[in-house]
Amino acid sequence: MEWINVLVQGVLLGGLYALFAAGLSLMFGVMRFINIAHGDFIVVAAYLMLVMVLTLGLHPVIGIGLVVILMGCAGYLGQRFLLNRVLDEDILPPVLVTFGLSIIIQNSLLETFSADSQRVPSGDFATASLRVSDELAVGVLPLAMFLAAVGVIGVLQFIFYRTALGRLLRATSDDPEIVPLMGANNSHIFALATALASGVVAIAGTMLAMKTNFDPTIGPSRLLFAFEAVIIGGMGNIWGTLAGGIILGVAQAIGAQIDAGYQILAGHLAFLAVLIVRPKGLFAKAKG
Amino acid sequence: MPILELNSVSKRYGALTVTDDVSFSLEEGATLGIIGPNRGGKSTLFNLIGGTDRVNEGAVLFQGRDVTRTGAADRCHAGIARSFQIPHPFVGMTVFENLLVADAFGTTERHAREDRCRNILDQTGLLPKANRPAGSLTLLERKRLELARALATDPKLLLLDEIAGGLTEGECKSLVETIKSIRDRGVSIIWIEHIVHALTAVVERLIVIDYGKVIADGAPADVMALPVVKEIYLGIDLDEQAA
Repeated sequence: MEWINVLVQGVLLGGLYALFAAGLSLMFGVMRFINIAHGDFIVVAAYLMLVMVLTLGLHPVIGIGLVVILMGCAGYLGQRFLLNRVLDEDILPPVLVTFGLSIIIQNSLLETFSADSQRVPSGDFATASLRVSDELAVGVLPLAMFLAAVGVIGVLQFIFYRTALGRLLRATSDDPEIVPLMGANNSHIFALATALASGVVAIAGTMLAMKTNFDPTIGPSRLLFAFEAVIIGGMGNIWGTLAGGIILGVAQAIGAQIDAGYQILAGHLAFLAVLIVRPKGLFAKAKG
Repeated sequence: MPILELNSVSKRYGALTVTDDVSFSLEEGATLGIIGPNRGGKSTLFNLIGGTDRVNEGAVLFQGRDVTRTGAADRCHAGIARSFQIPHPFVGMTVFENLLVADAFGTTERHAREDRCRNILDQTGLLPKANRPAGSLTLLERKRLELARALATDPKLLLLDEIAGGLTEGECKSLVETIKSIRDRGVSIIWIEHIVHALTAVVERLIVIDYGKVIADGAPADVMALPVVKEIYLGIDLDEQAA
């Protein structure tokens, strides 16, 4: 029974990791853009949530909505006026620029909010749980986060395969040089992709803020989890990313159950195992 | 008013002049064929007209408007569409979706747009393949998709880059029929092609480009009869012929 509990906790944690990963995967998928500052963007969203709830005293749900809008707008502008300038055949300039952004963000957060560990209180929500049986209880907050992750990925899937914007994003992913000849402006499409990714990052960050303690330096390790979830699931498969997040979460939960110190290590080992067995990820999409 | 006007257009890559002081104009609804040796600068000319490359000197006018400094997306909205020599379909999408990408930000109502795309697929013979992934198409089908996708942008001027190359005789014939029907609807066409008989079946005027320069311009029969064209095209050495 104890192990079932571990599994359930791991799956729920995996939802959060899938949320971390979805934004990263989207930007890489559409424009082959590797965002080293992705983890720090998540932390920025967490601090924005802190400001909304603690400083402005807003209800967490309104806070989430505002953070999503803010991050989405910032994503659009940042892509349009900064990142598009370094986007080219060469994959290195975006890596360098976002690496620099990562350092700038961490230090700005440190300057503004200090190194103290923070947490956004979510009231009764944080401690409430559903009793499944005598020995198994599921926290309401982790469950809500998992459902949010599934919902976000479902919405992304819908946008990609059922809307005109999604069609453009897939076309851009296939061949960005042809899309302008169809009358679409690439810098606008890239900016929309980043706005969408930033909205997902905002949801991930606000969830993180309510679930655990955070400080300005935790971005890079969130980036690592995001990368691992994407690669375990397979590039270009958004449901695969959810599966990747869950596998990572379960591995970490099992590790933690054995010894608290093994949590992170177990996740990395699972990732390594997938790399050895299926280097392209478990659910990699076959390219035509 | 001419639909397209090139005024002394030049394009250089470093020391290499790929397009050298090219000027010509095309009347609304007219058809023009471009021939010339490989690497003579024909496709570059299409890049300059379509806006994927910018000229170093000269001006490009579309329907009297100077579009020299505008990008490919703007020129597409203005009414210039292009098919590539090597087909570039969006391989991860269906044939129908490939067409729907065109004008995705347009204001046309969704059902009207879908109907229009369906008609274009019917016209280009791709309707039976509408829901197949574009990556699974044969060469002829890919070339037809290039054409269909260009038509989906609702062009006034259509640029065709060696669309008949690599096709069998029968395939080539049916493609020529399709292009004729597009011409007959009043779309202006510029067509780069090596298969001269396919070209002359459609166009009323021929330009020869070599080393980036226009070396002949006129009615197809006259142009093909020029000694300089015979030399380039058929490899006949004029001196040898004289001897």
